[in-house]
Amino acid sequence: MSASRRSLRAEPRTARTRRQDWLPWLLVAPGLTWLVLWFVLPLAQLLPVSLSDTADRFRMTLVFSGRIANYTEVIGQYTPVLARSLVYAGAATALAVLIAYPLAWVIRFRGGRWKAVLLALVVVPFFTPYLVRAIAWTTLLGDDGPLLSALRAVGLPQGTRLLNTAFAVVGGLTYNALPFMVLPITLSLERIPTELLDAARDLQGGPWTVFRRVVLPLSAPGLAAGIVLSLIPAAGDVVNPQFLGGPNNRMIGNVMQSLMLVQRQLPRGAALALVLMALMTATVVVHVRRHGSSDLTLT
Amino acid sequence: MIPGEFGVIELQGVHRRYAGTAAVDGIDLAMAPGEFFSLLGPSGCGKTTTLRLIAGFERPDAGVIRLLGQDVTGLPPHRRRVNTVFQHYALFPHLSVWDNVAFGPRNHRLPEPEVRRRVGEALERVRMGELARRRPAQLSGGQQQRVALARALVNEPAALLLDEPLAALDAGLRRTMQQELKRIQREAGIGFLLVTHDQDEALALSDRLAVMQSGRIAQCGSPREVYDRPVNEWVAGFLGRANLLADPLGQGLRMLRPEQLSLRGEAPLATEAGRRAQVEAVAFQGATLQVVLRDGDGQELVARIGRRDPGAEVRVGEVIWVVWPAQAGHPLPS
Amino acid sequence: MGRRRFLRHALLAGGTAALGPALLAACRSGGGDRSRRLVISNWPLYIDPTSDGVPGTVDRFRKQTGIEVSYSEDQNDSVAFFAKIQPELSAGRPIAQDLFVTPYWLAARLIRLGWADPLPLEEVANAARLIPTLRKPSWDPSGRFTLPWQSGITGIAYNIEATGRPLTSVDDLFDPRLKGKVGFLTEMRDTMGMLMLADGKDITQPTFAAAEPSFARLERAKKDGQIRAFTGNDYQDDLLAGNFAACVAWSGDVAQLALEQPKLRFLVPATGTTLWADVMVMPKGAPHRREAAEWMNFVYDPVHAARIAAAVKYISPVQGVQEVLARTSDTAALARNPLMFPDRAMEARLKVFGPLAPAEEAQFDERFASITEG
Repeated sequence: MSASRRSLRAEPRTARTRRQDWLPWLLVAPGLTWLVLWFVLPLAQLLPVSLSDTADRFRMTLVFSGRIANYTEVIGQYTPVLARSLVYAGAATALAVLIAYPLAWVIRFRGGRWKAVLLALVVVPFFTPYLVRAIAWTTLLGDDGPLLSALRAVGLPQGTRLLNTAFAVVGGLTYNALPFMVLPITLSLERIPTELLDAARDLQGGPWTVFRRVVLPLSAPGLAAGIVLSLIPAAGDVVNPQFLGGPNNRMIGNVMQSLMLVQRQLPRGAALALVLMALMTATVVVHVRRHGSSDLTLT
Repeated sequence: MIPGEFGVIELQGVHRRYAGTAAVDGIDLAMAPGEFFSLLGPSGCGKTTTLRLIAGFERPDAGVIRLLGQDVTGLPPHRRRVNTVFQHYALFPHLSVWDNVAFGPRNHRLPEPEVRRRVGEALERVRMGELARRRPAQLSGGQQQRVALARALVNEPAALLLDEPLAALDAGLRRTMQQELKRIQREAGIGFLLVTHDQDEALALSDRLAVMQSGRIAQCGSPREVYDRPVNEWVAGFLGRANLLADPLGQGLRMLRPEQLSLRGEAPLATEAGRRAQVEAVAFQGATLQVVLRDGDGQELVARIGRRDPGAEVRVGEVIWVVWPAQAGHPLPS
Repeated sequence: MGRRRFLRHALLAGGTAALGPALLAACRSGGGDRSRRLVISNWPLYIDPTSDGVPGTVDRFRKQTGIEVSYSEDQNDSVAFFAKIQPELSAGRPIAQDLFVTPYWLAARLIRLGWADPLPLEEVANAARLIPTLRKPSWDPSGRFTLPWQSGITGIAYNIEATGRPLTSVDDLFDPRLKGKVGFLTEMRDTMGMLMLADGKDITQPTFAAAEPSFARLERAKKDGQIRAFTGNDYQDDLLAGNFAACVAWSGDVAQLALEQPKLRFLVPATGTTLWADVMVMPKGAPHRREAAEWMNFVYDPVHAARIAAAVKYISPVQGVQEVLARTSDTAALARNPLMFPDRAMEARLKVFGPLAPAEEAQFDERFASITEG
């Protein structure tokens, strides 16, 4: 390009082009501000707190002392609860996959004109607040509640109980995970062209083969997203173990709540929160590496 | 087809309706082994539905479909020995070229060495051996087309079904792929059933073709038969430009293709027929010229002449003789 | 009904209704406002409401004094409330409330931190009616910072159909036949106080060392699955739903429930149990001292105190309530209820959980949490 042409081009590069340069920044600004305000700053605050000593737990006067022991102590003390939280969250996520996938499949391939209605049915129960749902289940699952009464009528042994058990906690977590599982899977199924399924059948694929070799891998991004969206809130949940669990089914969220509010050991609470975050991040990274990334980059 | 011989594909009285409208409205068809057969028609004529009925993606409301003499009307696609090349190729985006092609053989539970041999051969046949490790997204349209062909052929089907396979390619590539299709068909020695709306493609490739209109077969025959002797005005027009002239010998019309007309200054001889007409447009088409004229009665005539033929130098507005052999042309019911 | 209603009740019952006034109150009470206003925060269902055209205590007070009262039932969880007000109070700023009702031990904490103002008791003539047992209590030795709202007894509530027999002691809570059907309170002092007394320990001067055997007993029971849940006063639902056969419970709740559910019984263990109080506290810098004094004087009038007591069925801290209740036929039975008006024998069993030194309180909290949240 000649010098004269370059100078010609420099002229019209005025307000209009400059505004276009700013536009992307303008568009991400609200999101970025939000992220900084509600995530980065609290997180940045959490780190020094987790390395402090509590001078007065009621006045909340903390002294930064680089106290690593906050970490070793909470890890030492709460490893069983952490492990339990991950097991419950994992079980709930697995159950949610088993329930949500067929549901999403039906919505995508058999939904027809009922598709919108079926999707709404998945989402509508979530219009009732989370807490109110958990409380409603305590009534449903109670020892003399309708569910157990019905089951006892068909031969469930006396003394079997649902409320205040791991089963109820995992059940509640599973239910909460459902829309976060169904929606991304349905979307990823929607994105599979019907022609691909025809092709798979045409190439001598029976129904199972079509599912295993085409539908499942192509819906992997949705599945991966659903797993991440279910696993993380489940692992940190407070409400389900509180209302549906017993004292042997508490999860790490309950411990954090107790550390922050009742015991007012903020440094240890912060340390535990960061340990949980690190664990979840590691889980998600491993998960995406192993199952998600190739499929995610593909589409 | 010769009577008494088995068709690879046979359709008898096949109907398929969608929401009250007939997409396929009584089709009889028989395709011989090794034949290149085309279903030609405008969009919505039922040709793709016919193909999907043969592949098994749809079930007919009435009628029988046979493959190699066996009734397959009620069988699912994976139990039919035909394979399809889809309009948008339908390659599996998550699998490499190699794994796409190996999809069928693995479903057949062939031993892995046999799978490797077949896939290798199929990819060589379509000249895609070098790109076997690529993902479909990394291939051009033409390359994807070849992979789709290999993926279907590797299963050694009794016939290959091709649904507008070249529609998405640009003109140059389309011509190359047409030749490739023909070569591959010859080498594989199996029947190809091609669905297309492009009459040039159908005429160039097919041993026989069926022209479809509104869910029915309007005419079935060799390209020459259908082109030279269309059964009606619609078929005549669909296959190319047609001059429809009142038949001087009887009632009805006479159809003359543009290339049957010549242009010159002198009046027709005794063995010829002709009329004077004014040139309205001349379109240069490379090897030929297409000349649009109008005679004294106001009828439009289209002639296609070689660049060295007489009349090649005509100009718009010139009045000239349009001449054809007296016996030329094909009578059409009016 | 209603001490220490936990989240669930607040949400299902009073919670949303309380939100509006609370927000309004937050807007209104700014520095130096000397108008006739008063912002009170209390537990849900802890006062006689206006119903069937009969005005409740709040409405009667409004009418009689002309004071604009914002009365919010937004005390759901004392530790959460403490966490909410701590930043303001430790920064020396006043909070939205002029007066709130909180457990005695939390009041002790606020006094120790210097976050409570002395009450204007010189303007509360009826404060002289405070029952003797609650004068100069261990949580407020000078008696200047708190005035009890209601007090109550921690005991064992049980469903006699589920236990199949009357319960007689704290040990019955550990009966293997009741495995998975027993509830304890998340309120540490109530649960531990009863257990320590059963172990023969003095809870008026509690030490961590003395508590450890009781902690160990509780921990074992939890691990064995004997304990179904630690609850706030949602134990009522669990009792009624048949989830609990027996649980540690508060007297007023059971006094109310037992009216409708004759199968429910309440045991005050012979080994002793805790007497507790929810007390009125004025946070540091509360502007409406005069109006607060009028309120306290009003609710300490035996006639109004009797209305409150009849509704909530806890122990009224006001002398003369028993006589007021006895005068009317439909409340006469309440006047004879030993859970509302403890007799000598009952009083002998009641102990107040003594103050804990800060370091020891932290040990208690942590040890208790390791059991309830472990």
